[in-house]
Amino acid sequence: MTASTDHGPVRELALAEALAWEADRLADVAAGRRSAAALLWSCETALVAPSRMSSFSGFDDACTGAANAGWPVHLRATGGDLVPQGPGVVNLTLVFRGPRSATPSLEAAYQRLTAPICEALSEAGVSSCHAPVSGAFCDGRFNVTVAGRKFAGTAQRWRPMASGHAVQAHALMLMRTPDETTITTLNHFYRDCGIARVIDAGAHVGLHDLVPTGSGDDEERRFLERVAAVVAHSQ
Amino acid sequence: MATDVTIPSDLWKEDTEAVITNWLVSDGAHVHKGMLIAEIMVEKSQFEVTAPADGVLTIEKQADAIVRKGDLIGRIT
Repeated sequence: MTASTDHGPVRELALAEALAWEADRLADVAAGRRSAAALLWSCETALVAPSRMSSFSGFDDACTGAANAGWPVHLRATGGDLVPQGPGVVNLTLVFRGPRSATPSLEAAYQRLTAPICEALSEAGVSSCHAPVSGAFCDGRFNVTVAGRKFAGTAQRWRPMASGHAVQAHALMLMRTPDETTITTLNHFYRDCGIARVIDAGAHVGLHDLVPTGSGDDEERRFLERVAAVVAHSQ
Repeated sequence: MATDVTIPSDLWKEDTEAVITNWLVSDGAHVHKGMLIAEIMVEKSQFEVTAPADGVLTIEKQADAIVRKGDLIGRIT
């Protein structure tokens, strides 16, 4: 795990810097310069879209509208869908070399990514599982969910190597339940892109709404320290 | 002699459909073995497809096409 800061184990980066870190580490692993890397990070308010979304005819107008509302749009290399970034979100990125002998498995990579999150939630007294959530942003089968609401979303990128694959796995964890402004921004972006998708605020839950009232900041720090510890142990 | 560009059969376990999200080179382009030429997505995972040989690429399935493991998506001659 990359060095922590005075904000705990989370590095506060510019979003562009975080995306560049991910791309550089994936290139490092693919080239054999390192075997693994991990980073807990957060960034400024923004929307992040998968690069394929830029092919939609309304994409440029949607980006302009979002940026004017204070949500500049960045593209990322992993799969998935549109996500919000900013205060209230902490990301976990793992980069590692996929298995050489066994059949590579995206399911196994998702398990490796989400195990520290589920373990840290469990230690906080919160039971979680993997499941899709109707109405959640960037929905998928390997969401980490709590009581049917999305706590973390996941995505990956796989790069072939001479022997095996380099894998970049990313999880977006909600420290705060997304507010109506965030949900409205996502829905406006889809509308402007011409994509028929509606995000429901009630489909998500942040850590602060899962722990006793008043203990949120302490629990958040403990939770993230647990995630970092489990990741460091497994690298 | 043509070399097929196919969806690898060992990237994921389940018989899940994938989608070609991007061709990163044009139909008719000269490509080199190992060059990143396309991306496919399954289960929110983006897989990079590299050229299996040097030559001229003919795209057989366009971006946004639904594909399965082992499907032919292009040829290199």
